[in-house]
Amino acid sequence: MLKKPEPQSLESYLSQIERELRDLPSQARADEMREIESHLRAMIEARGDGSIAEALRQFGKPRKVGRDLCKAWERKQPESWINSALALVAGCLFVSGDTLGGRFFSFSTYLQYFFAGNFGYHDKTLATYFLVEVLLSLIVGATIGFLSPKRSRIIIALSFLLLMLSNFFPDIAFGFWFRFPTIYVPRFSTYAFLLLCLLIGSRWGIRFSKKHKIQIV
Amino acid sequence: MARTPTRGDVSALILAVLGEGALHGYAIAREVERRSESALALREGSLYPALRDLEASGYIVGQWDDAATPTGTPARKTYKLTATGQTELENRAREWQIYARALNGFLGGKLDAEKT
Repeated sequence: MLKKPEPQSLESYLSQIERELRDLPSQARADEMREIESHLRAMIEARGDGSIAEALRQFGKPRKVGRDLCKAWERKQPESWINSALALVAGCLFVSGDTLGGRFFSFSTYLQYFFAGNFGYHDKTLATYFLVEVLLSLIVGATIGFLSPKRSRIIIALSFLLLMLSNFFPDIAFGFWFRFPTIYVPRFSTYAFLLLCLLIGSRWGIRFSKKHKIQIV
Repeated sequence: MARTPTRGDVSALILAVLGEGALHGYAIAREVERRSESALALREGSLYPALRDLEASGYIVGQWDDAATPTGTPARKTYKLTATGQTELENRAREWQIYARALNGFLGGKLDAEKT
């Protein structure tokens, strides 16, 4: 026999709204929640029977209320051109990182041929290649710190997808120009794994800076 | 049957209500309900995004009244119209009257004709 759903409590309703406002600065979020709670309590009090369910229904669906409020805040604080430019740089590096690393690798092998007379790669060249990949990941990670939380979440999701693809389908790569089977899987995975760690770290950095009101850009 | 106002209508309603005097969010909702005679089914949560948009546009300013109300409910934020907001209200009222007059030319006479 199906049980009747439990009537929603005011606290759970408010927490659903607050979840949608997680990207707001903490003080702004607290102010919004204070105002909404005050309104709701007045509505509940005005109803002689103290019915919470009807008041909550009249206020609207909590996730929609929260999302609309979050969008209003995003409109209120338009992104600076610096953040847009950095987002573009981060996006380009994200897509082309593999190619740029590959180009540098190629340049290193040509140099090796010029000086040593052979095309074979060895540990030093490989180390150079990985160093470029790490550097690119650091640059992307640093620029991600200036992006909006929504964009950084998207790029974290893409990095995770890249990591999964590189592990299960190592032949799938965008911008890849080389076919060195021995470095295929570890190189692609390394880049995606590093990027993922840096992105998650930068997301924490964004939250930390908002919480402690540290102005980055 | 009660009609749900659109987002643009909600901001116009807020400006119109605040044109009469400063109010907090709950009072704005009650005033809309009273003046519309419950013909407008306002989702009261939709007031707050509209209030933020109006604040961002400089049409209204909000101020916290940090003294708790006598019944112990949390402090409230009161909004009032700015000079820019007053101009915007007048512009919107004028546009609405032109629009309503145009629609009335099509729909307004029909009900009267049915009554006679």
